[in-house]
Amino acid sequence: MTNHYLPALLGCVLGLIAHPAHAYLKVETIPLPEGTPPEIGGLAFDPDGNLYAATRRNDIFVAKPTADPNGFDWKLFASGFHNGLGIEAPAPGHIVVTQMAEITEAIDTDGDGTADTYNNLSNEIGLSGNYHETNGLCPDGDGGYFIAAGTASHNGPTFWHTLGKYSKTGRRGRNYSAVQWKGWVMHYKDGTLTPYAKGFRMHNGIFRDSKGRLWCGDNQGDFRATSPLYLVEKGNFYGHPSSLVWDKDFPKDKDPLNTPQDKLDEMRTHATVLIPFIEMNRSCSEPAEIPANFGVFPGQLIIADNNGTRITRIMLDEVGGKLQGSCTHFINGSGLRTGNNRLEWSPDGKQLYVGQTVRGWGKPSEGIQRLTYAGKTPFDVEQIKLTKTGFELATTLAIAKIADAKITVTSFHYQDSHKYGGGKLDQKQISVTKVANTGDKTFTIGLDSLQAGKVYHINVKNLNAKDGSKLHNENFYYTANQLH
Amino acid sequence: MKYYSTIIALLLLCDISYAQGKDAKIDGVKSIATVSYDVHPSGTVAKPLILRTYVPDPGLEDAVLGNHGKGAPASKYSPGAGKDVSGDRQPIDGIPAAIAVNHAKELSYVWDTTECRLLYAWKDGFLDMTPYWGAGDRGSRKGFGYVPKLDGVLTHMTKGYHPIHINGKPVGIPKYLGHSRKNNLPTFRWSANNSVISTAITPISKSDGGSLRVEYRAEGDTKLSYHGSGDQEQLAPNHLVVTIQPDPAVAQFSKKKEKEFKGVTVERGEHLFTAYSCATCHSVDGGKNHGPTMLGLFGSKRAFGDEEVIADDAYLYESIINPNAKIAPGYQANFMPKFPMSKEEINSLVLYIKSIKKIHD
Repeated sequence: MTNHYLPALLGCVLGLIAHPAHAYLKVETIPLPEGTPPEIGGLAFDPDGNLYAATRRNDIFVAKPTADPNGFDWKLFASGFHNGLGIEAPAPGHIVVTQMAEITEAIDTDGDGTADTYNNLSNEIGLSGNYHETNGLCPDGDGGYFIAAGTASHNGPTFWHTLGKYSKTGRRGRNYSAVQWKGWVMHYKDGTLTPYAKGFRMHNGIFRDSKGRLWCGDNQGDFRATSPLYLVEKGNFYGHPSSLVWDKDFPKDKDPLNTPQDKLDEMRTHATVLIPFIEMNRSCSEPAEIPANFGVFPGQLIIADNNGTRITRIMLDEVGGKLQGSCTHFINGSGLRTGNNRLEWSPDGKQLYVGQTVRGWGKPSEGIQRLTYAGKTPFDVEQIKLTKTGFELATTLAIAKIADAKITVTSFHYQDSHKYGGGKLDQKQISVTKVANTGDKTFTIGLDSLQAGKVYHINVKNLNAKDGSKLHNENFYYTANQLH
Repeated sequence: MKYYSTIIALLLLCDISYAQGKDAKIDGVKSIATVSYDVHPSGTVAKPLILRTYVPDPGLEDAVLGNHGKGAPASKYSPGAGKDVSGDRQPIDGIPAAIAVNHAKELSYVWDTTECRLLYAWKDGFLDMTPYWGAGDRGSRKGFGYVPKLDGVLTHMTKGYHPIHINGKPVGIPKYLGHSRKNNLPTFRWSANNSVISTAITPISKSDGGSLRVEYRAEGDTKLSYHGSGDQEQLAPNHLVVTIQPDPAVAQFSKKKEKEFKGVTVERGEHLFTAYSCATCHSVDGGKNHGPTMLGLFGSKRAFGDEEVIADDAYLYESIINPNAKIAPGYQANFMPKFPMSKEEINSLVLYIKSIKKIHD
């Protein structure tokens, strides 16, 4: 047992000591009460700035964050949650939690610091008995919630007695939907749960941004060649067929799993950004938006990697009235552990709290870490826009000499299928015809050809800022669903 | 019928020492009175632990679980082939949406949010969460079903349809509303037939454990009557109390004997492959995953930089006992845990992996 913990302990210690000189984010580790397995299902701040942490084994702790990462005075606020993976705190002493069998509201009505009233808001999302049916929620901006209900895994069974209706057609598949509403995004308001969007595999985490747009990631796997980021819109289908078994508009005599892939491709909404599995994000979990006063990359989306020491940064672009865009690392290592499951900003927007859990996926690396901007702007690509002839890139700092840069561009595409994951297809190097400054912090890359439906890997080497900083990230992946 | 043949493990010989030893541990944990996260979680008599988890089905009648969805075998599907293959996937026993409550060794019970009733009770222990939470090296799931085991002696199992009648009529489809925890004791609220009813279950002390009291109370002028087992006392038309004593007959349910494996066999290897959820990362049909597929692995050539290695017996054995020894290109180091297996078990697993030459269908 001891040797299992040694690497994790060593990692913690190293993480606390030194970060690379170029690190622009400070990473701190926040301990939980002694003895608590720090498997973090969810994190939420209430309007008074209290931080609630849901562990996967039943409990919800609360503490007022302190400047000292070791100074959190955790108290048990509520208990009785089976894999509570989604949590919001609409008022002090009032939480809403998605757990395996229920959406539960827990309230401290007598003000003693402990919840005493537990209300079942909805148990209409079924539960098959499988271990994999993840859950998450986010506010809808109007007093209700959006709920993401993940599918089951063929590595686990279902029960003879299920919560909600069971479908043996839906039980088939690698990741499957044996009960309602697995593989769906649902909307909850005032006691009513309604289907919102379908075709998800494991959208572990859901987020509504400051512009009111709803986002979720998904996990590479069956019908997912790589990890995607989806803009979730009402009524849309996102490509994983299992959820269709519960779709009233899907023909009753048809088997969703036998739908030909070209038909699924035609029905589905494309990912806004395709995130390469190995290079960027092995298992997308919760998305979040960088607040204006964090210090860097204001308003950009980030999405955590549950299976890597990374958080991915998303750079959105609008082409033909539709969103698409590119990704790179927000943080890659620098003391960040793996298992990154939930992202929650402190109310002042200055700190990002990261909840980590890995149960069953790799070695234990769990708990809470927080990221703070260290104050020195990294030299990085802040925005990538598609042009008629290539790309325009904007950097955070003035560029020293664009002529020094060595830029290579490769295109490829992904094809989803019933098989688990998929490689980069038709990889081709595209001739870079011209690289030129368009401002002191912008430059264009001219390409020999552009094609819709491709992912463009832009590799930038040997580019320095005027202040001598080296480029923080070298690799960027742009998903060109549309061309100008 | 199907689940009488697979009665969930009931440990008659339980080690109750942990229940007493827990208090000492509680002192070391800041701000926490009960220990919910230990693989042997426990509450106290005055402050029960309320745990939401999958719970075992100790052999309840179908009529008890009538408001649940009806599970059924489903065709086996091969994600690699993208089609159904021969055989079925069998459901297992378990209750998905119950609340398990523990008053130390005096009483444990399961109240179900789907049926809105007490399902069963036991004494001298609570739940062994090891199959679900893993032991020690947390993070590594073990087992296939993740249903915890009952620790202790079963004292009561409910029978038939819901025992409460509301204004002379049986309970229709009940709806769980929630529960309160005044004085640390849960009172479950549910509705049926347009009435709201609360149920509170408490241990009867001064017995040798397992005796319990169920108090039903309806809002307004609803008339309640009780048609189940136990002694009842009608305190008011909308208020009744039932006392249930341990039933020696239910304690006779014995643990289903797990199949024992001996020696080094392919069958034992296949059992281990399932029990340790190897397929979470290693497909047997060529599918890509966190780890390399097992299909056709044995005897294949593996490239590590300039070095080429044949995946022979020694290679497979090394990869199990020391997963980081050789990391196949495209896969992560420090990903696969070391599993606590004997030499016989590892050799059985190697035999099984060698047997995966073509898609099993």
